[in-house]
Amino acid sequence: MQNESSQNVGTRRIFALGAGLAGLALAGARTASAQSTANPDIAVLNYALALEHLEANYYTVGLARFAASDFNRANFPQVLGSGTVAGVYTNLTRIRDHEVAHVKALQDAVTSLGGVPVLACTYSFPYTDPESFLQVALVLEETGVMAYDGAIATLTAAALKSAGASIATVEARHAAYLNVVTSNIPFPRAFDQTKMMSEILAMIAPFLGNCPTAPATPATGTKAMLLPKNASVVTTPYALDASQSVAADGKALTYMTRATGKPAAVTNANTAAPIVQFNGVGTYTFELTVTDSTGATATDTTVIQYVGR
Amino acid sequence: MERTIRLSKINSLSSETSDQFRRDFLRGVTVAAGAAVTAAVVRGQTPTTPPAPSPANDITILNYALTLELLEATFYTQGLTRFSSADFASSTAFANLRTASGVSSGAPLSGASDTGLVQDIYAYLTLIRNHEQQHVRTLTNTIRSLGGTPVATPNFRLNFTTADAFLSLAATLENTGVAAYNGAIAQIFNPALVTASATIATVEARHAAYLNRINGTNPFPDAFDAGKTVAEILAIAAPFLG
Repeated sequence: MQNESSQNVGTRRIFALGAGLAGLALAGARTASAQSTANPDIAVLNYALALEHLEANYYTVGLARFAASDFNRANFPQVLGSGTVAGVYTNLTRIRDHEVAHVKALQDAVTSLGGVPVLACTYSFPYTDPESFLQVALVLEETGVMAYDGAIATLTAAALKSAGASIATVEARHAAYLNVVTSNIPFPRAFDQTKMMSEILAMIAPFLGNCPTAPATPATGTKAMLLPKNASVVTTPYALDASQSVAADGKALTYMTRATGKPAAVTNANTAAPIVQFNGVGTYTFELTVTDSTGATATDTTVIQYVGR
Repeated sequence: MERTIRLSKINSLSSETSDQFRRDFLRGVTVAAGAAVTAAVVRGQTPTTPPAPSPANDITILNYALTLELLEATFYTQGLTRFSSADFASSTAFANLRTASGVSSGAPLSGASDTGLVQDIYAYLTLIRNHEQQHVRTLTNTIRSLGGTPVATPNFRLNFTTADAFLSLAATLENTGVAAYNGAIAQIFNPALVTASATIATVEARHAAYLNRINGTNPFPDAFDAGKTVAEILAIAAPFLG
């Protein structure tokens, strides 16, 4: 019974994410404008973005939770020499930075095609210590390789195929390294396996919490936009960007940005370029409210992980 | 300057072996590509525009990939014949791995672990060789099944005399392989071949990450593995092409 129950939960999560991705593809289609049909690559890129959000969140949260010394004490196999242990935290940091860079690149790609980038979900991961953190990381990276290898051929633009491959091979490098530090063979096959989107979504379902539904994208109206979305950052003070907000009447907007969760000072809060000052490592939520010349308002929020230097 | 020298080597292919390689390579290249593009590739110049994806051009790309896989397979076969586990055990790369800095104890591994480590290295190099041989077989069969003619194995010029030089060159070849596949995949017409190429590219990337690690360098030096053009790859491979 319990299995059936958790399976149902998993199924609902798949549908939630699947519906979210489909909705975003449609939203992207609408945004792309009425004169042309939707670019089919948007849905594929949003699928990749959903996976990269998952990975970026995993490493960002995990590396904030563990210190380098936790990994030095971990019970790692010594198969690659003592230098392996010393390098683990450094290499995990590099991997985190790569996943964050992949998120950014895919968001930009989706936006450039006229689509709406999928937002991050909330996640839960079954690790309790540095060893199990590495095991789950390995699962995520191997999943990423299979997902990209299966999805690249479904892209229509030639340049995007190369771009997809340039990410796929980096995920494969991560996977090889994580195999080594978990005592597995770094390259178990001459040809990596592939999986289709439905299979991948089923695999990641256990890690998904709440996934945002597709945002409403009215064709007209005053719209607030606070960027970057769901970023992890290492510097404070940190500049946010409200300049992508749009006034329905094309006239000047007034801006107000504030921290709505964990307290953080905001300077230049009444401009399109607010600057926030983090008060220690943690997750911060910022809300932008814009008011147009008619008094109509719109709000937008973003979640920023401050991970420290 | 080095690049110029390498390019000039392509220009001055003159031995019978080189001519044979050039003929074999050209036979694949000329299946679809225009003669001007082909000549530009062989001269080591970047064609102004890559040939449009087409079924015929897919054979050209597969022969390009096959050439690189033949180079890798030949390289590992020679190296694993020439060197024993003991040679890798006495290599500088291995010594650096054992005593890599940054560990609180700083102590080298025990003798027993050393034996295990060196056995792992030799076993993994053997596994990589087997992968490259499988890539060669698969590409050869695929080219034939598409009605093309696979390139013959060139007489490669592989000059390495130490286990360290072998390990270093191995990393170079694998990282080059990744860049070659990532660059070429955009030009492939057949979706099934796109997927097949991706599944090879990610395996080359795994090899590259492992070998970077063995050589003491970053296993994943960038967030994106940039693709390289045919001309760029041939410039890198020129010293090995006899």
